[in-house]
Amino acid sequence: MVIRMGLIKTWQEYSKISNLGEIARRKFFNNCFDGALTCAGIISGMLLLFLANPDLLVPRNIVITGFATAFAIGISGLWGAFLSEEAERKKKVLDLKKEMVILDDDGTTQLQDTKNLDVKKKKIKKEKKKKGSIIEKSEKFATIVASLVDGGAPVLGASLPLIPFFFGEELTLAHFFVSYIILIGLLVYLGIFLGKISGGGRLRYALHLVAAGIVTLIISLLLGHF
Amino acid sequence: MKIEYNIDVLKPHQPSNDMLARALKKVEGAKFVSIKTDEIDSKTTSIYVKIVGTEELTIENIEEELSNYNCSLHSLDEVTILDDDWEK
Repeated sequence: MVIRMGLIKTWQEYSKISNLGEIARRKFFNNCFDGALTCAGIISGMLLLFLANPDLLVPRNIVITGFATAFAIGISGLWGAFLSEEAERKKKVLDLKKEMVILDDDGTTQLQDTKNLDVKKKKIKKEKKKKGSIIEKSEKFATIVASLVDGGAPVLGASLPLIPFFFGEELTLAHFFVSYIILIGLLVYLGIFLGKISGGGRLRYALHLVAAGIVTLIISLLLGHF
Repeated sequence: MKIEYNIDVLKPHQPSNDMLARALKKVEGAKFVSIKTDEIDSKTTSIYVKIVGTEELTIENIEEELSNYNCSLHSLDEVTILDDDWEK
């Protein structure tokens, strides 16, 4: 228990230093919203197929298609985010070392722009080999967490509307109806989430997101007429 | 023996002075830590650090802890070493 509390405190420190909270919230919203609307597109497409030929599909088809897409988005988010976050954070640490005039282990200075430094601050010291400063550890921690959010959030957003299709042997309109209800609920939740972050306007955000969902549905259904 | 160091440090905005002070207090031999801000620019903060402790307190250990927090020790401005039984 003591070890766990110590670990949590360390992670909180890392989050504070790397400003992880703001980044994680933004990534969660963006990616969950992406996942939800992607799933809305898939379900709308399946609805069109169902309406054209009710015997063509079974619920399992939609579950497999939906989850395959959800995991593809998730892996794309996780992998892509890890690489881009790692690159950005490495640059951030490097820029910080330049500002702080901190040498690498081989003794070379990363100092390029000295115009903002006093003469006093140009004193250069050698750093002995170490595992990494707390800022480097914080940025690594933030990279991992941000990547997990980038990967997990779209999977969550895309998976929830697929829940009704786990039930029943035959596909019915009720499956699609419940799925859309869940989707709307998810969009409303995301709107409330945004409203909480900004300190107000929950209804406005929720209406915006539901409108986006309706637009996705309409466009998907219109495509069925081509 | 009482040892007092007054040092000039350049640090990034994060970690905060509070976090840095608590970390320096954990250095072996440290009994008192005081941090005062000198200058702030867009990316860095110049601070004055005063650390008082026993004979186990060394500038090398302080420097190591500072570098763990990406802080740069720029100058050791003042060192005071006092025996316990010394009277001014």
